[in-house]
Amino acid sequence: MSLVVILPGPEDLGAGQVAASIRRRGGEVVVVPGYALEESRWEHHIVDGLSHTVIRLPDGQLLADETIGAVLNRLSGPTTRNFARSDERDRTYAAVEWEALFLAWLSSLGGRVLGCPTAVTAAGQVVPGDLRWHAWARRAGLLGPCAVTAPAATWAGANRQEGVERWTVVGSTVLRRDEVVGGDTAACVRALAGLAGVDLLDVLLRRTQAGDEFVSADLRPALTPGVGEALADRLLTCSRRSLGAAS
Amino acid sequence: MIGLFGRGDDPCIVRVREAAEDLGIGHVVIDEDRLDPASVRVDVREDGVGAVLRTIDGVIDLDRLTGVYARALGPADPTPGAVEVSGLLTQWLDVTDVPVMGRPMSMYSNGSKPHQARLIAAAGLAVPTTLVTNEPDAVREFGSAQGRVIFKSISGIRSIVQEVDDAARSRIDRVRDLPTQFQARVEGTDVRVHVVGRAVFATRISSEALDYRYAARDGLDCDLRPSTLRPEVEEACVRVAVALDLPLAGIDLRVSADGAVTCFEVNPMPAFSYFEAHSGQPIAAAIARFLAGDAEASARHTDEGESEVA
Repeated sequence: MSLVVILPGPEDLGAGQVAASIRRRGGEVVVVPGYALEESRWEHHIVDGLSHTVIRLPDGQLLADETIGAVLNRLSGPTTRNFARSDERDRTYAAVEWEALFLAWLSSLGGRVLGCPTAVTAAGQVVPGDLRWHAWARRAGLLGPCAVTAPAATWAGANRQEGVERWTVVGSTVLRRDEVVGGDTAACVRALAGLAGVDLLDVLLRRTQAGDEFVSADLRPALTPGVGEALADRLLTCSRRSLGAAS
Repeated sequence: MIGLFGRGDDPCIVRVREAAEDLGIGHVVIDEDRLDPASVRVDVREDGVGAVLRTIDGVIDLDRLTGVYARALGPADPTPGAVEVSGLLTQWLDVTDVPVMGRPMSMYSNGSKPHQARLIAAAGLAVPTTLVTNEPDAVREFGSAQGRVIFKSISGIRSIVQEVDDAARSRIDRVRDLPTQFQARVEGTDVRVHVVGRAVFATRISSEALDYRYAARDGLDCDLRPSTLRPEVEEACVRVAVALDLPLAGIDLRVSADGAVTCFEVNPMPAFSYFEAHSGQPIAAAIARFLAGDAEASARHTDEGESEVA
């Protein structure tokens, strides 16, 4: 149980760098794009309430639960490539069904998955001005606009997009300008991810005299070199922990 | 004061409103079909959110509600203004400290039946032996091992449960196109359980149909009667509802002749009015009491004379 599985999003070049970093450190890793998952042979069993999944990839490699040490999930949704010629209703149905299977598989792997689908990620990318994110940010100790009205949703004292700085959450690690950082703001950013129930998150903050203001968030952090190294660290640690638990 | 958020003519909303009136519980209907013109303001503070809604019917300080029953389907006439107000109210439901029956984010588990099944089993109810696959040979092997097998969708999309009969077997290779969920067929009596807080209402459903929801379509009868469950089964139902963060849940059980209980799925937004109308069980009243903060109301519910099925 030591294989690291990376599920990249479309045109997710950084995922390859994460894989290279893991290999450099002696880890075993496989990169499986979404379309390859949809061309694989799946068996997801539930017996006595316990699930077990075996996936035979198009190249014949087997991904069984007991062989997987860690997963990085950056899928943005099924490709439904095999339904390209189907009508929209069938394509939509296929996408929803694949998504449900991905969720069943990834959630059953528990803490081995970084970026596991959740209710928050299912809602799609963070929409600027989403009340939930502003409420969680404030609860996490970040500043931000204090009220929103609808219709014509407007935030009182809404902050500007310029001058923002990107903070990235990778599990319990927080990075700023590609460096691992601690401190109060890092703790707030980590708390925000916790309230949203996600373990991968980019948070855009604007520094003001009063403190750090929440601007927006991104559920698919940019894979900069520093973030890639942090991910590789995290995945290898998780994988080795899984190996220890299994032996 | 309790809040009812949804379409004013939705039978479930109507029933809770009528129950609140009967019980003398103050209530306000936030009718999705009367949100234009309307406006809502939400204040964001360190200790939570506060919201005030203004409609043609009046001003509602949403923070002062003791609880909200949410059955948000969206305005029937989706004018831009109504959609925006409804949308912000829906976001408020997810972050308010006011107790909410039907937080939008709590609907998520129902999007994947096998995912939900694992959570149900972890909370203490048995689930059917299941295979989700796109491998025809695996389906054949599963059928050989399990005997009678049914199939249905993996996702929350409602699908008609069907048995793998000769006709289905003849086209089993089509699963290669898309994974499908197969389950060992469980014989027994269908029981729909509505959990309201800690109160449990079991309704026994008698029908010849494989999927009672479609009995009428197949020209078959469907008889619904109040029933009871063994205390340990009731407790397991409550644990499942709590695990899924659903103060109101519709749990589909099948009870075998030997008393074994199997859970098929949990509906996070149950249309309880159908069951209440046929069984006479006071589900809406329990919802109104729960939202009003009446903990005693959740203690017991079973009437004398109800038959025990599990």
